[in-house]
Amino acid sequence: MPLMEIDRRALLAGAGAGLLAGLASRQLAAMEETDTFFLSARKEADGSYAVVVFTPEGKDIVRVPLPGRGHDVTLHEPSGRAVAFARRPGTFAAAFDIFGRREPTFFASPENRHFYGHGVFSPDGKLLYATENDFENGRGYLGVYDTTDGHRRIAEFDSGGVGPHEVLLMLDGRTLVVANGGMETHPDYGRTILNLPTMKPTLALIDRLTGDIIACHDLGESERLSSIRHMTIDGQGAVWFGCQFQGDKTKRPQLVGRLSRGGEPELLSSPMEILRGFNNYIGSVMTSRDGKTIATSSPRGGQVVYWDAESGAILGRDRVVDVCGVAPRPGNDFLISDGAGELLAAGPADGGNPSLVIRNSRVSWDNHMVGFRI
Amino acid sequence: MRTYLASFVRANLVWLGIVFAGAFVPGGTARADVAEDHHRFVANAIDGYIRPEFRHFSRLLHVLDAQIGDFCAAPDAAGYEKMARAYSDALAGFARIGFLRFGPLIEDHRLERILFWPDRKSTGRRQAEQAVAEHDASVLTLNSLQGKSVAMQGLLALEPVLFDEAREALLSGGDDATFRCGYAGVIGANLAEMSDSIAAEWAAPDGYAALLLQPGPDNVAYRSDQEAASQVLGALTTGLQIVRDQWIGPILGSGPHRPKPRMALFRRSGNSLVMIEAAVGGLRDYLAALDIAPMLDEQDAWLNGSLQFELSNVLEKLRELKEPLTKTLRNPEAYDKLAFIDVVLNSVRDSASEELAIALKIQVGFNALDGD
Repeated sequence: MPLMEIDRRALLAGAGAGLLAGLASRQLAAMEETDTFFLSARKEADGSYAVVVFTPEGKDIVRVPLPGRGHDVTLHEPSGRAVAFARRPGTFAAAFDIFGRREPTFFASPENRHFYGHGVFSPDGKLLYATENDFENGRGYLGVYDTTDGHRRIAEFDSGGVGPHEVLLMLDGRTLVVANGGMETHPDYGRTILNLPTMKPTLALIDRLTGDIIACHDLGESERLSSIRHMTIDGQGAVWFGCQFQGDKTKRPQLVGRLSRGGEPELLSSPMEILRGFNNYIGSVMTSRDGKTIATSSPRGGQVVYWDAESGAILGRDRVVDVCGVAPRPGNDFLISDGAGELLAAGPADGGNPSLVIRNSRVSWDNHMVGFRI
Repeated sequence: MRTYLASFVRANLVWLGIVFAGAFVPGGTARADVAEDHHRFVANAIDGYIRPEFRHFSRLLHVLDAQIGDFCAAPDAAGYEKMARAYSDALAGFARIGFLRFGPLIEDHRLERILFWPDRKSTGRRQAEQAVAEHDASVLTLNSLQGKSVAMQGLLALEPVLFDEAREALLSGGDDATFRCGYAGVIGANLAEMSDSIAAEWAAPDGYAALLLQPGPDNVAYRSDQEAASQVLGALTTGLQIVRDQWIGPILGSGPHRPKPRMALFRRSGNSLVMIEAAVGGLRDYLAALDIAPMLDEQDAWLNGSLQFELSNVLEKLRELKEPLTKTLRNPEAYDKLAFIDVVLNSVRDSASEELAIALKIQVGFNALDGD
């Protein structure tokens, strides 16, 4: 199996070339149109798994085969380095260059730990923080990996709760925010939740230099079954989060919330029609490029809802079956992906009609997508 | 005249239509309406399995409650055996409904109150043993027990209180036996009460069943027949996953040389195989109750028989295994049998969540199926 496949023609025609020396001005001009790229894990037609870098038109540029199902990809934009994580309870991570300038390298979580599928780089790209499960003790950790030293694990921090899922870096470049889903699992029992009657999700703020837990928020006893999983940070630095409710469908709790700087988390109010459309599950939360719009997707409900980051008002929604991946596009709208191999351009202004970019029904896009501009 | 001709033609077209439908769509015409198929599929699950099984489960728990009472009123070996049998039957009954994890069973953590499993750290056992050791009076009233850890309230806690090493203590009488009987009696009442509520809520014409049977824009839980059907089919795949991930997988450990039979549920009362067998039998009966054959196109017709056959095969293999697993699984042949069963259950699960879902036109998304 090749470690990586690169479409050199696409690479040269596109922005990847911008990172190469001696670029002709004509090529630079052509790039103005295509300086945006996307990253996502997916299931391939033959049942194998990969992470791919692709153009806004859905054309693969770089493809890194993965040994199992992937989840999220985290990117260090200045250096073009990315890490794709195994879906829980997987233990592998793949570090690669988004334009294929180096062979990818693989590293693993330590013994008696597994990844949760998410991680984030330090601003200088030297350190990588990954959410991990210490499953023998039922505790959540952030593993700290040195990317300049073969992804050696150099430290670990208490994540501030059980079942840490997504981790992001706040705008100050120093504070990490962790969504601790609250659910205890152990590989002996697959993905079975072991602590449903006592689970307690939290949103923890952690100093990435010291590991100190600065604050550990929860949503109160009434929301105990709402597992906080995914987040994004808006233009003002507020954390937006999406929950996955673990109770029955006869209850439709609010699932989307916001934590403003120095404040307490608040759940935003959406009408029953929107809540039914979420089907108690938010799979991905993403900010538009201008930081003003938030997209929240639900594969279980087949719905994407757009929010005004400042007022918290709902701006619109799209209905797409098995939709999950959401990434920002240049016009401050979003690219969304689904399990049927579709990429669609979507946003609050599309009037409920996202436009199909490309469909490759032989592949299934996985939960998360990253959009970037070079 | 023209009107007559038109209606004659129409009548003949209808007739021709039926002939052609019969010729080209073997097996029936109902499949033309997928929503109708999905509705019937859901109704079959409710009336053919869910309602009668929860009624039966409630009867079994009442029998258990009564047997605990009878034995404790006049403890003797015969009464103890009867009580042990009632416990076994209750566990088997649970295995047959434990995969129906939507609606009344999961309301208010009833599922965990009835049986908290997996209990990786033996919390239930330890807490129940401690209550017995300390003669903790707070487990002796229903109201107060219901406020305690869910692991202390149901079938899991009964094992250390009544079985395993408790037999001698119970038969020899004294304070310890009195306390154990008191605690077990409250658990018995708690179980009977919960199972009554669940059965009643499923039986009610305007209860959870109505949500599944009358989907729509104003229905809080299900917007379409397809969503309801997806829940019903999902229970089958969930059930197969539970048997594998929670009951068989932990015993298989990391390989033939390292089985972990001590991880088996209810091994101390010798009920591990009873439960696994009852669960697989329940899933087979659930599939049969769904009566999917009329909903399948000709090219998918094989699926029904194939899945039934595989599950019956598993049941046969399971009956060749013997308790106690801590001894019998040392035999590599027995281990291989259990490992084979695990593989077959996995393939049945894959077929149910992929081929069968497609054949029944039920969407089960890549991202939505097993969320993260």
